[in-house]
Amino acid sequence: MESCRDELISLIEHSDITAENIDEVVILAKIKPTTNAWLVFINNLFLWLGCIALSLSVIFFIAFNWTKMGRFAKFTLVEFALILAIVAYLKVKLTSVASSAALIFATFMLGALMALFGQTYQTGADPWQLFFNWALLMTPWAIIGRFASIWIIWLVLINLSIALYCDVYLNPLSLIFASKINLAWTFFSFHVLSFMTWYLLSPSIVWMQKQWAIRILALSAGISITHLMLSAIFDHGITNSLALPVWVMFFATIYWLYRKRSIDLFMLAGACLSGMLVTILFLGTSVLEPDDPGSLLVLAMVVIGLGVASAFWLKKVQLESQL
Amino acid sequence: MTTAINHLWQTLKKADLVADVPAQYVINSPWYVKTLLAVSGWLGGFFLLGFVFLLCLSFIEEPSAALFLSMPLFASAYFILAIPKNEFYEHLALALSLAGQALLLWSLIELQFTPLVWLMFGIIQMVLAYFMASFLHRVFSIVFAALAFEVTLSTFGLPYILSSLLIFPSTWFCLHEFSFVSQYKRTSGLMYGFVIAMLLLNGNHLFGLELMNFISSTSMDSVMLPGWAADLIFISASLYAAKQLISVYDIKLKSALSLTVLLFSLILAIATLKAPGIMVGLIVMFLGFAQSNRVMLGLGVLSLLLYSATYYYMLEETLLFKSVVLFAIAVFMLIGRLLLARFSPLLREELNA
Repeated sequence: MESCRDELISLIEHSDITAENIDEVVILAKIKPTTNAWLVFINNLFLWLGCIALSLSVIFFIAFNWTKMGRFAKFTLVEFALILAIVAYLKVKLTSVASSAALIFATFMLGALMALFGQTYQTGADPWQLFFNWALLMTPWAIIGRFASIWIIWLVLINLSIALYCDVYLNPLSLIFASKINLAWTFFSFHVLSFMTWYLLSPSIVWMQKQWAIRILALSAGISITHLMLSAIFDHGITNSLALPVWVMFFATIYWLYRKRSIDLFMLAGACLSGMLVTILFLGTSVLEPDDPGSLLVLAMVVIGLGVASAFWLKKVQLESQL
Repeated sequence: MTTAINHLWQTLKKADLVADVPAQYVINSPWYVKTLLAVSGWLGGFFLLGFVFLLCLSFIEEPSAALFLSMPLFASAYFILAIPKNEFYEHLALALSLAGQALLLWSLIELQFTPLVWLMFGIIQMVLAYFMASFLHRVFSIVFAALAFEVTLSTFGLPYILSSLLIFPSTWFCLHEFSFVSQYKRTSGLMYGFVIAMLLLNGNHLFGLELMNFISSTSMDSVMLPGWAADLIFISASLYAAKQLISVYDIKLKSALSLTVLLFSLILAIATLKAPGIMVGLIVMFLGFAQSNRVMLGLGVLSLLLYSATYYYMLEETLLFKSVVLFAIAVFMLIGRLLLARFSPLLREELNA
């Protein structure tokens, strides 16, 4: 998409385009994609949708546990699909979209195979082991695949393993933190570690430079620490909680990385939102009286004021980045 | 003026399509900044409502008084929005209007206008969407209106129709986005409102909107539309979207390409009758791509991913049935891709002709 859509909208909103000329302007602003762009789009869409639908279809089928179909037939089905995906990966060009789709399909089939194995032989393993072993076994594919989506799936599986592990056992950070907030801190630590690793490696590795991937990782870490901060405020333990200094440090780092070193409005907007939520909750629970109408009016004015101030600042940064 | 706007302006100037002197342009905020503003508007509305509620507690307990009080809130929001562009006033107005809407809905429910309460609320939202000069307000109002109409239709025994009917205005507004230049601000708000409402209603299991069926538990069942009629509306709406897309590119309706696209849409619509979120997500993606609209494309991708991930939990069908539906879609897509690869040189010729 190399159109000038945003710029065209700006011109239209300033009444610089007349209704008589709009058809010509739309063509010159390249709003309508070319034939080739359409073909590439449809080609990729069909491929991805086909692969995802096929893998979900197999997973749903296994989950249904159809008794009329024997275990041998089920294993044959999943293993055949897995081998087919690997053969497809080896046959197509290695850096193509088709190779990525084949590897993602193989990853899903691996999960289906492990679930089928657990279902058939009743291994007695904890659920966290399924996701952890799945992540472990797909790691070589993620390494050779060298694309962002497969690593995001890997990270999601590790996240699930952590959540399910902590559901059964005390987590590794339980010696440091109170048990109630253990899981949240474990998640935050993992998300920050993932984000920082990705950030540090991405300048030298081309496939890691996808903007959406690092945004997802930063978003996960930001949500985790904001959640911890809000919990501390709710529990009136903000002064003796580690959440406040860590929250400040995290967003100061985000500011330094995405305002000083480079500019990313998405990250800055997320930081503003977190700051707004924390301020409002702090004022609402610790400073103002929730039953007092005046306090609610102050909160309304503060939240609108903070929202507008954030938008004003972000617009300034946006303008600066586009000049 | 930014370099990108300057570049476009120069191109248009060469074609003699713009005036000689460029204006000082205000850049549009990206979607995430708008989302941030929407959240602050929502929270502001919530606190303002609390303020009004606590201040006039004894007065508001009377539903007609609450109804009366909502009017000045709407009027203030309208007049504030009439002031030329100012972010602070716009969000203050949004908060005032949301507080007014909550009061209005509460008073309508208390005045026992059931089952017309949701119909009235929906109509009021449509009026607000037309008159309130704010992009976010229009998006909110259209979404609220759609939800209110869905509850109304469910009350009258006609559920699952509006989700399909919304495909018509969503498609039309997306593909005619630039047709009304002087009304662009109004039509863009309506467009996003219709698309978001359509995605919400088609993924109702995902967003917990079955709750609305509880709200409408006093179902009158005065008209019971047969199941096939709802399916027919869904298929017709899907074909309408495909036909509109074809006509935007000036491709003859009787050409082989048009017929293939329509046939493809028909088969896919039938295959996704029991999983409408997939078809609707695809429609949004196609509409977004056709207009180079990345936000719309992202909405389509996100809705498809969320719908697919939670399709497992839909209780209406068995996992075996869902597996067969997904398998049919997968086979159809992969065969479609093979055919596309086979005939793409011919397609190129036809499209470029």
